[in-house]
Amino acid sequence: MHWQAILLDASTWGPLLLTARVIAVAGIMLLVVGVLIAYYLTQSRSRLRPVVDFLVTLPLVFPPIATGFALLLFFGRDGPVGRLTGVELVFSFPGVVLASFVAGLPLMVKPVEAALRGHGRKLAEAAYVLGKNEWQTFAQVLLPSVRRSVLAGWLLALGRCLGEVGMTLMLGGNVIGKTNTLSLEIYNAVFSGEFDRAIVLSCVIGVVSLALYMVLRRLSAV
Amino acid sequence: MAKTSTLSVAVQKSLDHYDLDVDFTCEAGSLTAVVGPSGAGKTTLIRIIAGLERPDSGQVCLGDTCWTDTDSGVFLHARKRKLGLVFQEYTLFPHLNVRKNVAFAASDQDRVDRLMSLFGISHLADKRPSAISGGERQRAAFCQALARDPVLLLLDEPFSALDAGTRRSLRSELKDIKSELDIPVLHVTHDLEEAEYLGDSILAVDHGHVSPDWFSGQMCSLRSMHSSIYQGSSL
Repeated sequence: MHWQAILLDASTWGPLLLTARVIAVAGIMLLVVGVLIAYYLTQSRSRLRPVVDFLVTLPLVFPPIATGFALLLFFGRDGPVGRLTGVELVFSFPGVVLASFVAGLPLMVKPVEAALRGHGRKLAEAAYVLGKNEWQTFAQVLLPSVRRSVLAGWLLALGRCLGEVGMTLMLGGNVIGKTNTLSLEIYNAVFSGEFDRAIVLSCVIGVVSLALYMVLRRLSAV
Repeated sequence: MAKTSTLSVAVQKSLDHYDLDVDFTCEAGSLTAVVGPSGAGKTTLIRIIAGLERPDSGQVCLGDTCWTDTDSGVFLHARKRKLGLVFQEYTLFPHLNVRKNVAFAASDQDRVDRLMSLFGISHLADKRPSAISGGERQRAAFCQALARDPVLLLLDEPFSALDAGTRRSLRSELKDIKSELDIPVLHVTHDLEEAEYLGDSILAVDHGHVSPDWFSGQMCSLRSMHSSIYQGSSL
């Protein structure tokens, strides 16, 4: 099949749109929750802090398929979340979003946390002395000061969301027409011997990743 | 709060290698130079007065108002003390231009303009801190600290990162301005000549304790060294 025909095929558009929707929702969650967790990790002296730090960092060092399995057990129908709330996240759009969010979270949190630790304390103290409370200091001083790191972390996290397979497979289930993201669709194409399709889809994902990389390079050069 | 209040400090705090135990007062309109060797506890003292650290025991009061009093459990957060603090390192906010930095906590915009003019940085108003020199940044930091119309001014080695020429120039400007400030000024420095030049009184701190002998001993050594250099050069 010609590459243009592959691109225009409905079975390509479905995963493409699904991936765009997942990245849009997970991207907003990463931006808000990621920055707040980074701030919490730099400010808190609570005993909970190392636990939060461990959980955020875990997807970086733990195999994605195993992390996905742990999430499946936790959020599945018979898991604590499913039993307590009755909400079924797995094998659905929210499950895919959750997988992308968990995969991208450490890449969002760690650069922002490092930037806040770098100059954050001194800038925060300067703002306190100038009469600002914690929220004003966060919104008017800390966040604008680390905005470059926020953007860099966010782009890295989006890149990770785009390529996420292991956790998405476990939580989303690779249900055709429902939870088969672009990365999973490449896997499906290779598995069914449609190599042309796999190449075209890989090129699409590659172009988006390259664009993210170019923005990151530009950010680090300024 | 009346601006002509005296700062009185009597605090104790355990540090890594010794205990800080300092007791002194600083009159409104006067500058007390706090001197001492590195690690003597000068910066810790400033941070305690600013409300950025708590002492183990003691009081920090301005006039009749106590900001810190461990006996009665009083501890006023730094943001409520309405003081000006110029740090050793430049702590202007990097995302704001010079004018926005100076006006960050000011309620009176005319005062901001007056201060920027007084310190000769009006022409830098639209520049970011990263685009100006160290001396200009420290001038902006002085303006920022004074723009709030503070009741106390704390200076933590504000000239230490500057070159000798800029340091002399800023010292001279501070000497001129301090007479117009009707508030106590505490100036931490490791430069003994700077302390003698600016200070209406000297508070020498060594290993956490007030030590007048340390300052006189150091000054004697300094003068004797200057004298030797002078005699040596005339031979």
